[in-house]
Amino acid sequence: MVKDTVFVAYATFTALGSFVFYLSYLVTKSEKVGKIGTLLNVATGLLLTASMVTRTYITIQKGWGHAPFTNLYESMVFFGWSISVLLLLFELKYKNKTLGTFVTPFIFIILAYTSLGGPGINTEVEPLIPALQSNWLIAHVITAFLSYAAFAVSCGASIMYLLRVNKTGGFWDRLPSAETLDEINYKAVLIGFPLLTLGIVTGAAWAHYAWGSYWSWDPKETWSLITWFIYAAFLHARYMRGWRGKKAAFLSIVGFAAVLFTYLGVNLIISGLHSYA
Amino acid sequence: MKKIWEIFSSIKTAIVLFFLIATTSIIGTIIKQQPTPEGYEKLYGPTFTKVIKALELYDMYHSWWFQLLLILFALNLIICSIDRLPRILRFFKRETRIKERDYLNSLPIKCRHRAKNLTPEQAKEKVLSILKEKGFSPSEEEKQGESLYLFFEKGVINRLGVYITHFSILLVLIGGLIGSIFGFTGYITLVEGGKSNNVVLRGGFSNKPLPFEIECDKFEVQFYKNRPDVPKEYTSYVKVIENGKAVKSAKIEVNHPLVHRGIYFYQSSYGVFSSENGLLTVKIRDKRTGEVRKVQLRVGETQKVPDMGIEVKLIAFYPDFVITEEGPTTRSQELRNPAALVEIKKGNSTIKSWVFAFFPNVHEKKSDYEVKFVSFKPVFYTVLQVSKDPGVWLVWIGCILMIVAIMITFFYPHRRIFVWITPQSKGTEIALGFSTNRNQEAFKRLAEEVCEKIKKEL
Repeated sequence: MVKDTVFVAYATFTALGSFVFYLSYLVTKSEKVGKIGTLLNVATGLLLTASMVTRTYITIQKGWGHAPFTNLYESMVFFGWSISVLLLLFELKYKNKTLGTFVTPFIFIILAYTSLGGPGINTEVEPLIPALQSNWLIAHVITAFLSYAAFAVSCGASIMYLLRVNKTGGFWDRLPSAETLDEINYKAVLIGFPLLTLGIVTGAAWAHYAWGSYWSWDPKETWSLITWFIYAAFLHARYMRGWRGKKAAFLSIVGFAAVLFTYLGVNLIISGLHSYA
Repeated sequence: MKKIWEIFSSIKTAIVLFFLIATTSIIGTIIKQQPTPEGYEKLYGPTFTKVIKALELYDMYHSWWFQLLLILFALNLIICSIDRLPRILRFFKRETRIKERDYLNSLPIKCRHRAKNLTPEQAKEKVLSILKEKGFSPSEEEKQGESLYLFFEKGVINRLGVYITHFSILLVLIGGLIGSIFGFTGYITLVEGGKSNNVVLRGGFSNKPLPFEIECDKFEVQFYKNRPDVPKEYTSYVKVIENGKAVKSAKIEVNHPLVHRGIYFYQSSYGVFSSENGLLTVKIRDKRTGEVRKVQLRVGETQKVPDMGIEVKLIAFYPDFVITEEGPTTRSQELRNPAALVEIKKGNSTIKSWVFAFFPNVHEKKSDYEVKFVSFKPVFYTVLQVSKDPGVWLVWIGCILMIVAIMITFFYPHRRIFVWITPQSKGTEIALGFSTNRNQEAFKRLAEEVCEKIKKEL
């Protein structure tokens, strides 16, 4: 039987490879090189899919049969998968391969942390404890992590924006225009925000059944609300006060920092009810 | 008054409030939250404890100033909405849908085409069918002098999306408020076989009797067969008793609460009430015939095993067996080293055997029977969390509405198409104007397709 962790290890390398090729594409502007970057990112997505399928199969073999969304390790794999898929979608939509340079490092860092067994990573396939035996688990994890991935894309586009803005000529013209980057930042938030809202609501519904209260001001809940407020501010500032460009990029980066703290900081630094991942 | 209205209707205030709520919320994730400020001096020292007490930081999400922030947030939501709603409602009035031909100049996306061989009637039919393909049908039609004016729109509801979102947030806040005023949360503890209506409210300072009783028939912890260290399910089998009669039987598991009269009962925790009165299961093997029988016993109880012709009695059970000077005893009520003294009687002869859970090979050599420990189920108590929240349905309605409204706001733009068809000395002129409030690029692409088709087909 193949171990699911093997796929994640390979995916770490394809993620690094896709970053290298995306970066070379920026420098060489060779379409071929860019295509390899994309293919390597697709490979990352496929390898992570294989890892999740294998893991689900292992749980079925053990007689448990549950989706691989139960601990930090499994959620990291799904997080990496979500970013990889969203990056591909944005790349197809905007027909620009340079975004990958700024988004694939996130995938690589996540997978490297996961496969090197950073703090909190346990790769063992575990049965579901009673609190996790709920259909809300699947809806909650999928919506939450897709929103995180969308915010990762918006953060990548924002970093790129801050480097790109007010620069012209040679190398810089190879990047998408500042306007396009601002647009990607905004579009990614448009995808992330409703998903984050859904993630919080499905989490609340689950908490209602499992913990007897839809909202307990648990650190995880509170930090997800903080994140939600940051992106709500982003949207209001954009619609009503015309915050674009630098200010919007800055808010997106702060927002993604809050996402990372909600996801990792809360579990690694603070403890609470939400102790699985 | 006007000044206050202006402050509350400003987006700046909204954004400042977002940041205030978000940043102050961090405090409660760092400082331990509990109902009273006990024990903080040890953790944070006397000076900081004073600050914690003054600002109620030990329970900050229920503190006066955080509640005030939430009230300001709600007021801001309401006033912003009232302030802007009239400007939005005009999109639902006919006047806004009717535009003169001059309006075309002010639109960012537009096109004109002269169809040489078509009458205005024919041109109209063509335009209607081309726009119908794109999912637009006319909602207004008017003669404007010589011209015929047609108006198409989709997603006018988008204009309300923001306000529905704000309204849904208010529903959630009101639901939360109703819950905190009229609801309660507490715990009820039941020993297997016992019943109670006494809920100890959270914080532990007061009780609340329920108008009915809950009886626990049985509590069970199941573990995974291939992972005996991981719990699979905690189950309380209970009955609801009203006026002495059982009206409902239910199984309460984690994630599957019991609801009775709007009160939720959740499986919260459990423990061992008594180990000595539990149910012991042993396997008895007749050494001569090899026959094996399972027997279940309580302390002091005798069970007959007719086909073996014996009687089995459990004399004593020690959950945490140890031998002291005074003889065998138990160190604790936990099942750390379960041991039982079993007596087997056949005819007139009796023989006692010690049975150890963790030492299966220890047994009475002189006996014809080998007794082995199978399992021991102590008498458990189960703790059910008891909650009533009359506001929860408002919260759910608010949540669903919020998601639908956010999706409408982001992804279902208000798109309008204005068409003027004017007869000319030779043929007919068709002028189209396009307007949308979101995602200009996508609508521009659609407009280009429509215009190209009109140029080709007319």
